[in-house]
Order: sequence, then structure tokens, then C-alpha cells
Amino acid sequence: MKLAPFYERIAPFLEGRVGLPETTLALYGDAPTRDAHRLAIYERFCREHRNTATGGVHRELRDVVTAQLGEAGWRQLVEDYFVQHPMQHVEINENGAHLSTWLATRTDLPPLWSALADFEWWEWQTLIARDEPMDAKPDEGPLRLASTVELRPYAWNFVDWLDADERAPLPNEENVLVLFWRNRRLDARRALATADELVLLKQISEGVEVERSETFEDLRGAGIILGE
Amino acid sequence: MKKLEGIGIGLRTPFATELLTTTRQVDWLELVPENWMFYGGKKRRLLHELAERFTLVPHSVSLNVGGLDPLDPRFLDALATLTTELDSPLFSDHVCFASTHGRPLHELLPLPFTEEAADVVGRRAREAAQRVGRPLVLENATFYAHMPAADEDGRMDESSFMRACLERGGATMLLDVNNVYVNSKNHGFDARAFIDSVPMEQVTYLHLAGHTLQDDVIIDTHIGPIIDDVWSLYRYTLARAGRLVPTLIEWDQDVPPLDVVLDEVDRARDEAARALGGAA
Repeated sequence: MKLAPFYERIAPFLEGRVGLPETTLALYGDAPTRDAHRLAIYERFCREHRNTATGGVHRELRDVVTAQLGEAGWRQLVEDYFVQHPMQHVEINENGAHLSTWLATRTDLPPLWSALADFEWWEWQTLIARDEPMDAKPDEGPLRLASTVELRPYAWNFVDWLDADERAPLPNEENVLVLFWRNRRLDARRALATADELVLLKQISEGVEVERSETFEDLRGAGIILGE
Repeated sequence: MKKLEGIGIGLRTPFATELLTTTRQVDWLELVPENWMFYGGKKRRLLHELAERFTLVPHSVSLNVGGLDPLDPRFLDALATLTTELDSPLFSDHVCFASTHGRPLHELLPLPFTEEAADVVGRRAREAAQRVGRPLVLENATFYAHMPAADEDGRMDESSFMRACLERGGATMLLDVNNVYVNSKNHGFDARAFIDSVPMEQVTYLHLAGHTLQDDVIIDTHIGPIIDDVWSLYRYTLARAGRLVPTLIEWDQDVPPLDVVLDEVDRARDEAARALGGAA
């Protein structure tokens, strides 16, 4: 078989959109090879990779969904997601980039799921963010925010929920702003942002003169504010 | 540029930091670049620290050398940057397809063993090597099912197909000894005859790994330890080559403590000495 029709016929199967019998017939006609039934191994592997691509980063989301829908429900959600957003990236986790926005379009699902997906995505993005030259000398240069700093609003307090010694089944509903950043040791961090911190972050991002307060020194020590 | 020689292991996250301080002998490392090259932060720093101590060889899984889509420029650019950063002597990938219609599948999928597929692999292997700026080494992959190939397509057996890919691609070979064993059991051919058919002077390095029997098929899981039959085939391969071909131990699932993996390295060194009459 030529490669062009081969890929046309096998791709839908590997992406979980067409079953084994139809694919076997499309590839081999009425004379399948003795090992054609083993095509199922590849479909299973590809399906597992889709699960890894979402569940690797979104572990908490997977647990929340599984608690409500069971493992089969989670896996179906993953398959539905990839029908809308086929893999695009060779770094497997990057293929979960649209999970939060896709969940937000699913009005039949709890809105918490989309928010939690966004939260976990930004934890991940903070961890892997590229090293920017502006962060290389944190004590030199003008006052600035580290390149990894991200401020995001949530309607649930995921931070306290995840950090609790005894975790409740679901987080409290509460409007919060969460700061994500990578500290001076390159660890990924996230914390609820206070009003004082928000004022400082705004001043620095606007280039306004700031008071060297205790809050300022805390943010500087944490690696959120760089420079002198 | 750094040299590739001796016995190495696949770089895996669970023991990556420990490699910086181990006193046991490990000669080089192979890394899956997709798991490292897009990351900054601690992971990138660790990689640079490892590169100061070891030769690091990128062994990718996403080249898609048998595919029909254009080669992924984002992937090739990142790989070129990484090989330069690490001063890697070469990079390797598999004779397979790994995406269709621009959509990665994250799996090493078998090609039809045909003249057309060998032409495609050859052309794209040359392009990839040129764009990355390093020699490309191609691995014989496992396959569980034969993809459809008719006589009028120029059907070949696996061994002939592999040789055609190497020749047309101007590439050398990463001979995965475990894959030869797995394929020979799954498809009923003589593993030693396959080794005999390999142009040994074109083999740049070897892979050794464990595998898993599931139902009627052996799956290339890279779960160790390596079985005696594969060690035997390794000795046969080295004896045929008449030299210690650089060798890499892969252990990808249920990854054990570093010392357990390094026990396999020690055994590889012993097996090589046995095969080469103490010359390893």
C-alpha cells in the first residue's frame, strides 16, 4: 500500500475515531495478515498517551472528575477533548494546553473543572518556563517583575485546598487572585496575593517609585521582584 | 565534539540528580530530548550540569522520519539548539512514523516495508541531519503487526528495509538488540540471521533493554532486567562486530534505583569482555 492511503486509513483508528474491524478491512481488505489483530496494541498505546497528555499535568482535575464520573468518565472526557483539539506538540504535556478553555465551553460540566484545569496548567507553565536573560542576574538592573510572574483570578480557593493537611473533597468558593512564579532556586511557587502585594506589583510593572517595605523585601526575597 | 564510547544508560528523571555524584562507572547518557528541550528552570540547569560530566546523546521519538507531513521545524530547531548546547556528537531516532496529518501520536509506529517508504525515510533522514547539524543514527524499531505491503509496492523484509533506509538516508545504525529479539519472537524469524544481515561497520551504537510478554506478543516495555537470551544475542553481535560497539542500557518503566540500572551496565561490560575475549 502506498503511504498516502495508508496514513489516511490508519490515522482515524490511532486517534480513536474508527474501530479495529473497519480499519483492518480498510488496510488489508479481505486478506489481513496473521498479526493484523495486533493493530489493537497501537490503538491502546495511542489512547494511553492521550490520557498521559492530560492527566500528567492535570492530576487534581483527574481525581475530581474521577470521583464524580469514575475512571471511564475521565477517559471519555479526555477522548472528547482530543476530538476537538488533536495533538499538535511533540512535548506531550503541551497537548493539554486547551483543556481549560474547552471545559469552559462544556456548559454541562461543573465550572470548577475548567478553573482547576487552568490552575494546574499555570503551575506547570511556571515550572517549565524558559529561562529568560532578564532573570539571570536577579539582584542587578532596574526593579522589575520576574519573567515567570503570572497573576490569575479564580472563583475557588485552590491554594488553601491543595495545601491543607486534610483536604476537603472540593475547594471553597471564594474569589481569589493567585500569584505564580519561580523562586530564586527555580522552584515553581504559587500563593494567594494580598492587597499590599497587588499594589506593589502594579507599581513596579508601571515603573512607579516604590516604598522598600517589608512586603517589598518579602517579594524580592521570594524572587517575584528582581533588581535594585 | 564529545565522543561516544563505552557503556551508557538512558537518562531518566528519577535518578538524574544522583548521576552527578555517583562513583560508579557510567560512560555516557542518552536522553529523550522531547522530555528536556522545551523546559527551562531546574531541569535545564540539571541537564547542563550532566553535560559537564557525560557525553549526552539525544534519542528522539518524534522525528517521524517515515511520515509524509513536512518535518516539524519547531522540533528540529529545538533539537539543533540542544545538540549544540550539549556538544552532542550525534542524534538518533527510529525508523517509524510518529504522527499523521501534522498530529503527533507519541508512539513509534511501524511503516509498510516498501520501496516507497524506504525512499521517504532516506530523503527525510538526510534533511533532518542537515537541519540539526549532526549525524543522524537510525534505530530498528519493534513492530507487532505487519503494515500492508504488496509485491507491487516493492515489499521487503524488515532487514532489507532497514538496510535500504540507511543507505538512502546516508545514516548509520542504532542496532537495538532487544528489538531484534522481540521482533524475532513475535514474527518467527532467526534473530542471529538478522544480526548477520546488519552491516556492522555502519553500527554506531547498540541498545539493550528488558521487555514484557503480554498474551501472544512480547511488548518492548523497557522494563528490566535484561534477559539471558538478549545478553546472548548481545555477545553474538559484539563478536560479529569484533569491537566494543558503544552500548546503551534502557530502562523506562518501573524505573528502579540508579544502582540497579548500573548493575546492568557492569554486566554489559562483563558480557562484552566475554564476547571479545577480554578485549572490552
